Amino acid sequence: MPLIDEIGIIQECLAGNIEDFGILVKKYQALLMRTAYHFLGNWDDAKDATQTTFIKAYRSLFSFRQDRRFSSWLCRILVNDCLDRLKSAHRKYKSPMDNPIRDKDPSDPLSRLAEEDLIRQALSKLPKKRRRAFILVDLEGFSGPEAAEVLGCSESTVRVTVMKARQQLRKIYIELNES
Amino acid sequence: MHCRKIREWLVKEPESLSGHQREELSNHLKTCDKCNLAFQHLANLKNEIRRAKETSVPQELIQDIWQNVRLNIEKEPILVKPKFRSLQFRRHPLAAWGIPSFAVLCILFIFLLIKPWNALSPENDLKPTSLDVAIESAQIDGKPAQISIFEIRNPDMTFIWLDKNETDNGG
Repeated sequence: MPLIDEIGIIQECLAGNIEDFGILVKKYQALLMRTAYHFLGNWDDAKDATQTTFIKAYRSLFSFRQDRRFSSWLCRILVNDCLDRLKSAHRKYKSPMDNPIRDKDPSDPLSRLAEEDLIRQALSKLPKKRRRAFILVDLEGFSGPEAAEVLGCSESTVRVTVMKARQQLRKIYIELNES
Repeated sequence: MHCRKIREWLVKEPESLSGHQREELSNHLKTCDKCNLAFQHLANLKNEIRRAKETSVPQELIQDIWQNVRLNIEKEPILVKPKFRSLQFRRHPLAAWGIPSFAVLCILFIFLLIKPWNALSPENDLKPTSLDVAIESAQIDGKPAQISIFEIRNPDMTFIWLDKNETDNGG
């Protein structure tokens, strides 16, 4: 991805040039889609959340502090939107009893789906703060300072939260497999 | 009981385990099928997380995102900076709570400065206040007398005091 002058583009957008916002959308759409997918579990909802995030970002572009990373600001809007969606829809993943785990064969697509489903269940059982930190750091590869900026906390808090999230996820995952 | 301890070690970060713990863990896994299965599950989890990390977004889904966003933002294209920004309690807690608290203190100070202390005393409410005293001279039965009229507030009452001179000046 070539380096672009994000601040310059934001200034143009603030001056009323809508087209310039398209550059930012195209740059960050894949990142936001993938992050939303990890939270919501399906691509359609992830796309919807991504679009809503860009619209919200554009409408409140004046409140973006230019000493911050634009990507972190966008992700923060996205994460809040995803959590709101999960809260309002009371989404629950299917119980493992409804979807029995087959013998694990990595080449078997059904087995893979069951495995993915189990991980989603385990993730959905994590507390909100731990889930956010885990998805950003372990699944999206955000660095400590980046994640701290998105989550609005210190770097050390992120590190501790991710560590606790990993431990809890492992525990839940073993329990789900054994149930 | 032993399995429970082993499970606790299994979910921990491998780096946080001591050499002795690692050794005990590997010995236990060789003998306990249940814990060994849990260990296998964790290996699966690790692989799945790695796969999830490599998730690629379907290209056909992201093609029209900008078009959809554009349609929406064109309806409301004006980006207006608000004149007054609300206090951000999370970002600036000291300012957000300090300014209103200081304002309240100032108001209280001015109130106390204007209202005299004795006016605040509860005893003062029960103390009658004399307003007017009117003194009249009169003749009663041919003798000089003095009538004093006191008007009192709180409670509202009027006292008339008759001061008759009984001494016989005429002799």
